[in-house]
Amino acid sequence: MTDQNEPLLSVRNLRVSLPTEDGAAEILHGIDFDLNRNEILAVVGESGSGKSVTALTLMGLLPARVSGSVRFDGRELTGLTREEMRQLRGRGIAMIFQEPMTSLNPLLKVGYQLEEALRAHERMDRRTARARALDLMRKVRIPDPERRMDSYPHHFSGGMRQRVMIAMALAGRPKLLIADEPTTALDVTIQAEILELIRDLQRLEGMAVLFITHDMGVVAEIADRTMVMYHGRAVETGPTDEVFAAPKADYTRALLDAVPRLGEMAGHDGPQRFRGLAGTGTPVAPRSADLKKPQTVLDVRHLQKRFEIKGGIFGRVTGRVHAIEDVSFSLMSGETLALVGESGCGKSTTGRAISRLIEADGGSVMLDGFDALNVSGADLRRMRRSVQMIFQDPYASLNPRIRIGASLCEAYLVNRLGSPAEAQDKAAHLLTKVGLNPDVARRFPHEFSGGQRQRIAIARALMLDPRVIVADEAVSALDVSVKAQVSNLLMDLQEETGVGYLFISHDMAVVERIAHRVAVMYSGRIVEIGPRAAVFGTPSHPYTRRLLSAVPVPDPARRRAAHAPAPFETRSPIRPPGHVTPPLRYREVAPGHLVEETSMSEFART
Amino acid sequence: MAAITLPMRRIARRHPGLALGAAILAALCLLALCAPLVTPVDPGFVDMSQRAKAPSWDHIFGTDMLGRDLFARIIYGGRLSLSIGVAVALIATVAGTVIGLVAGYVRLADAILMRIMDGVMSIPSVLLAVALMALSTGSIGNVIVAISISGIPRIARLVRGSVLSLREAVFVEAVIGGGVGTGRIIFRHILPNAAAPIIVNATYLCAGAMLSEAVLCFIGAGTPPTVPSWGNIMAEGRTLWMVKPHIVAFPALILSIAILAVNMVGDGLRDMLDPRAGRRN
Amino acid sequence: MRHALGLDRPFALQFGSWLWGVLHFDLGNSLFSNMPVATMIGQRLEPTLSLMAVTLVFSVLIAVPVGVWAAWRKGGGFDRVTTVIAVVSFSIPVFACGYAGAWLFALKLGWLPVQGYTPLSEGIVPWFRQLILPAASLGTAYVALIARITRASMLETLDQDYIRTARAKGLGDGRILFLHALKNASVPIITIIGIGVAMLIGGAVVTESVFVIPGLGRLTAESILRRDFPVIQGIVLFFSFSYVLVNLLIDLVYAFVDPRIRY
Repeated sequence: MTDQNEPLLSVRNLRVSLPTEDGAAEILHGIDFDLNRNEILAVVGESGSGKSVTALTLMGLLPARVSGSVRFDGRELTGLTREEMRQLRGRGIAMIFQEPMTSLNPLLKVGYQLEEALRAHERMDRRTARARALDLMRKVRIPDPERRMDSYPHHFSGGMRQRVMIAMALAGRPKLLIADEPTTALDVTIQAEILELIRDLQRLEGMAVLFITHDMGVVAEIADRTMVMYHGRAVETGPTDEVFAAPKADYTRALLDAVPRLGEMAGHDGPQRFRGLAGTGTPVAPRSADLKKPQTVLDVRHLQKRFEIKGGIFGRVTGRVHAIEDVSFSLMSGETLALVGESGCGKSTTGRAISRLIEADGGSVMLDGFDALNVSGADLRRMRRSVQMIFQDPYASLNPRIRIGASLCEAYLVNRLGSPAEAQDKAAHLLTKVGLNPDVARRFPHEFSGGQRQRIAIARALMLDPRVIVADEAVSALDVSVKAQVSNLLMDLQEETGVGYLFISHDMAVVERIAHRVAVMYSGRIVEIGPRAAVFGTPSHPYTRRLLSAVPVPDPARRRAAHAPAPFETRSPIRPPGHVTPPLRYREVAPGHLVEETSMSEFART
Repeated sequence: MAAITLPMRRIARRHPGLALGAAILAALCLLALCAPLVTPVDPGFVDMSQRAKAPSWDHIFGTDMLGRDLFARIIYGGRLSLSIGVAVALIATVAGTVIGLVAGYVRLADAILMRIMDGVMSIPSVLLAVALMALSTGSIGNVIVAISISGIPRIARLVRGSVLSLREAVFVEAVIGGGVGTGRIIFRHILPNAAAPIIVNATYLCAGAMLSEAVLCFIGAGTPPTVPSWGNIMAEGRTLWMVKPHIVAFPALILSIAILAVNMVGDGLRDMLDPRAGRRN
Repeated sequence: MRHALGLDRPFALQFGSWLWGVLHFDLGNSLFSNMPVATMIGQRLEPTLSLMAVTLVFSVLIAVPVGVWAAWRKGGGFDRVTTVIAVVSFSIPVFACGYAGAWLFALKLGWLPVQGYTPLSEGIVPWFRQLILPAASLGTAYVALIARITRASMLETLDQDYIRTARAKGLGDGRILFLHALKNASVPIITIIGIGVAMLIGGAVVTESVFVIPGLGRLTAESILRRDFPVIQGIVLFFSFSYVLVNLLIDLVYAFVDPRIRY
């Protein structure tokens, strides 16, 4: 019937226009590619490159105007009727999405949603469907499937929900699986498990996979061939090894240069700028006189924070989230301490407690001479000047109704640090320093891109001459090239002003570039802390090792050997009301390199 | 507030309902304000020889049971009906905003104020106004207060909700981190960003108030008949509705048009100020 | 006279003793007929309950499908027409609807009775015939309200990721619309049905006056003219209590719809 040597999917001159308020806008400007049977093709690009639009178009899930040709399994897809397209979805082509938390119907049991997918394309009774659904849950390695069939999605973690989504996609035995950023919303250790699973299932089921991602590391890890997209065009397509080893397009080269590679800093002690763009990977060397003799600007001792969980009609305390458990560290001027860990480990809470956006329950914080947890009134305001925050979402961190200039000057003027004219001069100076034209002060936030807004947020933080900046995932939401630029900017500013960074991040590769020292957090505790070179070079806590080994490296030559890790569920930080935490015990494995010992037993089985 | 400074013509093209509603409302307000210029007839002039006459060239809307010209009464009646709508919208919005702000910022006050609001909301609004009017005299001021009270909880809840979520907004945390005081945060950062739904709800309150005023008149607990309003003109004619339907029909028609116009403005503002309508792009 | 009725006592004291009575299921006596208020409310209950039940059931039956269809075909002809009809019918006062309907269908066309009420005990058909016009005028704004919320809630739900998942599975439109979307959209719809009962109560006072139905609404209007405070107090209390009860029941319904809600 169909020729097995012919590509499964063949896209020619695909143009897609989406309706907007002012007519239609063309998003894809004619792309061509082939996808062979039994192959994983990665489509990689930054935001706005059109990679997701490509996927949704193939599925017929967009209200778009499409021209060109899409041949799938010997059949032309453009021009199919709604009903023909529906028949194809799930059975011919299946899809999984980026947001596992919202992609399952919250009101229906997981088992039912699987059975429904099975019965959508094949006549079968409920008992058969249930048995097949159980098989699918086993296939995606969900533990205890009989019981979990009858649970609702909100009882599943993000990783488990993505497994359910994959099981559902397999229900119709598709020939093509489209995975649209399926691991982007997941923690890095979970990401490694899901990638492993997709790779295994691809071989087992003999499917082709169209894998959409922005992460070059994931591409190197999973793809046989790679297509690089930029502004609605395919700029380069080829075998993954070749694309990484000898990129042909300028854009691919720039992209690969901007990508941090975990491990490439081995042998260097201090931070280094990203190559490729403006700088050339120069080491960061303190210049300010202040830094010749660094002093401690932040000293955190036994910090603790718990959130109460209230339940029942009377709102009794039924448990506590031990968000921060006995956390201690210090930060010198001109130094970057990275606080790393996965979601829910307490790293953001620590940053917010130090800058007094939430109140800690215990411990002490000495910040630039202030007893930060106990100051109030005028002293609190003075203390706030010493610590400023930069947040993850550049779109949310500026008041949309206030001009950039006013946003920058507000705190300066409220704190009476100078006259309005001085404030404007300083704002203009700082805007120039972060690489923007001082004229932008007259404009509103919506006129700027994410990277520009993050620069503005950095300038705002610097207006008060802080000694410490808490950067909470400050570069995590940015595209690869912008991420490198903003990281370089942060390093430049540190060199110049001697500010200390508490750099909160889950991105180990960026941390490797930017940090002097690293503290690894797990379930509210610091499990390992020490110089960056030591923690990354000789990780001594099993969790640190796990974390580092899960990071995908953007180098196909270093692809890890296949191993099927058992699904690992992170320890919940919720404890019963009367719980007393056993004291933490740190062992010094090398000068300044400490490892927590009581938590090691939790990782005995891995 | 870049949206506000958009050219009028563009608003009219994108939100035709808003433009039409605003035009009707402006016309009604103008007629009411310039009533003496629109009709030379005194709305209170009683002519017992002309009782309950059907519309004619002399009286285009006909006359009421006391022979007063209905057209003149309706034009003048707009003054009271429209003012009640605006007054209630203003009072309830201001009071509700204050209560919502306090509740959103002060833990202790929150528990107390919101329980009171729940209590007020548990009484259907028309009945609450009826009960309050039964306890007081039927003056215009009392009608305004009675209708306003039932409108306060909705605004208070809305504002409290906005305050609670905006307090946690990243840009507000950034400002707190800069050492900016609570007062400035509320008035410069929280209120302007919470304004859109408050304004939209204020228009709905205005429409609801004109309706409530008419209902109160209808069941005999409304504004005194000495000053005409669309509600009390209609209430006076209702006993004769089967034989002389025009006495009820004209004020009811104008009232419906006015309420419709205000609701159209509200819907239009809601669509125009909707943050999901692409602020990010 | 004022002393005998206790009207010369301070307001707080009057209210206090009335509240004390209420706690013992004693709403006091009417100033006008000296009958116990509770008895008067009981006598007038059936017509009001009938009117509100008929209105509620038919409004929901009409409004929800209209809202669902308008959301499914957003921007289409049906959606645009119903959106305009909804804002118009939401804006017409109950009495305007009532008088216009009665004038056209009863006076001019003679299809339906002009006014009055036939008890249910005299047969369902005459009872229902007599309720059609009042229920239609009472329901006009209520239908518009529910239809608007249904449309808005459906639009929001249809935009969710899990609907995209359902489409990616290749499910049919009917299944997506009524099982996946409507169930998820139902919490706001159920909420507005409950909150809208306040509108029905206020509207019933007017409707019963227009159509001369001897129910609680008409009793309210009569008592206001007679300034019969105990009766007004009793009715307000009764309606508020019923309203709160309806909304409490609705809170319990949520838990059936949404497994994430637990009490």
